[in-house]
Amino acid sequence: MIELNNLSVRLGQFAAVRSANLTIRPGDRIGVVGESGCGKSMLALSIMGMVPDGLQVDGALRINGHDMSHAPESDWNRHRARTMAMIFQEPMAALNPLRRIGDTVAEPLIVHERLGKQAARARALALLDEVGIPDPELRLRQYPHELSGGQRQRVLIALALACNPSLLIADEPTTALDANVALRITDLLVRLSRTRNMALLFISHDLAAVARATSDIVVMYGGDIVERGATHQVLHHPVHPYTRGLLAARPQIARGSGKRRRLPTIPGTVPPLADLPAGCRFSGRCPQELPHCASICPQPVATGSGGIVACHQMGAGA
Amino acid sequence: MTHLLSVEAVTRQYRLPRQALFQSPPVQVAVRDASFHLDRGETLGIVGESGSGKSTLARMVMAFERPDQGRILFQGQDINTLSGADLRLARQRFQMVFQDPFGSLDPRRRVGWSIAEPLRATDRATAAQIATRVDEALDHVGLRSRDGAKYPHEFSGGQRQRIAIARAIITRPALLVADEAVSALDVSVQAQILNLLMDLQQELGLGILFISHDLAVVASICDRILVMQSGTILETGLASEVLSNPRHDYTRTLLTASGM
Repeated sequence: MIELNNLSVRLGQFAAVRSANLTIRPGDRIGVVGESGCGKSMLALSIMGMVPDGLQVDGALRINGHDMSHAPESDWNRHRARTMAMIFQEPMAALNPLRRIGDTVAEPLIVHERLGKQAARARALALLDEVGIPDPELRLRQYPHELSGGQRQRVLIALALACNPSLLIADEPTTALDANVALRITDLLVRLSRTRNMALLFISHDLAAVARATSDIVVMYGGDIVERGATHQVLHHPVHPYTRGLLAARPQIARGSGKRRRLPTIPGTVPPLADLPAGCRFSGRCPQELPHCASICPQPVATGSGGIVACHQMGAGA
Repeated sequence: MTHLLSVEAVTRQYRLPRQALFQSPPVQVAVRDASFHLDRGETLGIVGESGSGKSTLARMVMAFERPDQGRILFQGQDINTLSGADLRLARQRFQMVFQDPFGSLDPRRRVGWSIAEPLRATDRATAAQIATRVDEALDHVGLRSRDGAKYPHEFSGGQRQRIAIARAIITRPALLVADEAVSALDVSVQAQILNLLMDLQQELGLGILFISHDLAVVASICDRILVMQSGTILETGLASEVLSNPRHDYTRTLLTASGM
């Protein structure tokens, strides 16, 4: 359905996303994890055709078989409502504070589906109901400030669902929410993906949320997809040194212990785009670095368990 | 024995805007009848969702706000009975680190200047003494003394949080209040800062009041945990007990949210 082939997003000579390959099929639930500045959001924006001005996109992006490389903006606009939709981290910033919820949710229905006002309103009501907003009649008449953070995120999900997209991209949808609200939003996204056979691209640095929401995981570091595989496989048997470091550094609740211990860390921080090494992007921070890592880019190879990893250690049969 | 910090039956409420002219305005109880204590070298974690009152509690411990009822004793002394000058002096002994490493440093001042500010505010130190203390504080948090001459924008988020910690420990406090101090950081940097806090605690014997919405983070650093919801302390106990044997549904939800 959506296919990325050697897709790169560049700022001058620096790649924010480097040669990404990814296929998204109907009903897929794919998590994208990695630290800030690793290209997760840029990957999502390139799929939406919303890469900021000044950045250059190379490689092929196919939507339902159509190459979108030179597609006019009107094609993108059509796809952005019907094929794919996106929700963001900060639900307050994404809603117009001066418009009633009902008008906001009805807008794409009037613009894209050419529904009349009455029909659009009825659909909006059904959508709010579908995303689990209590008393949707009342909410339609309210303004964003009258809703809690979790409810605003639900409104945005309803808005994204308006034109029945085949792919929903959720960029850090639960990061700004409290733990129990985040859980319910995560579960809602999974339920919607199942009932609508809609693909879900779930971008988050919260590994617990990704574990709950997805069946496959893509790990990004410095603009590269460094590891890919089934969610439980990647989280419980990570292969790439970055994935392993990320999982180890995560504070965990070891049942019954509650003992304080130093956490294993990844030395240093994600370097700025201009300072990334030419070869493996993780070289310089990697505990298992080989002499040629910094200069030669590792090719993705298959892991034993159906995943893919880009690391020289794997190529050497280690 | 006197605790480093004792919070005794503290209540804090805020008046909401008046809704009708002749009625008294409604009140929001931010913290209700909260009691706990903390000793030197110990870390107490406070977890809860936003609006549960954990930050209000922190602000009262720091004497930024007065409780409506109850007392807050720091090393046996009720901090709300101190005069302005005495409180200023007492503040050397309790310091705070905030969530946002970008908003808590003056972008137009060299970080060395910002780190020295608590010292200038509370101590009559000479310029040379201040410079030595700044170097010492930078060293404690794993930065170099020449970093003091740089500006905040030259540092990453994790480094800025180190700077904020250096500023908090420069007065050699006995108590450190960390309000969501690692929440804005990436996982690998978060682990570095948590380790730093544990190291500093060992070196300096700090008592740490660690406030977070993330139970997993609290579990990794705290000896005891206090769970709050809607201004009330739901449960408190040793970290191992609360985590393995939660008594409230809310604590269980937090556990589910942070499990994989």
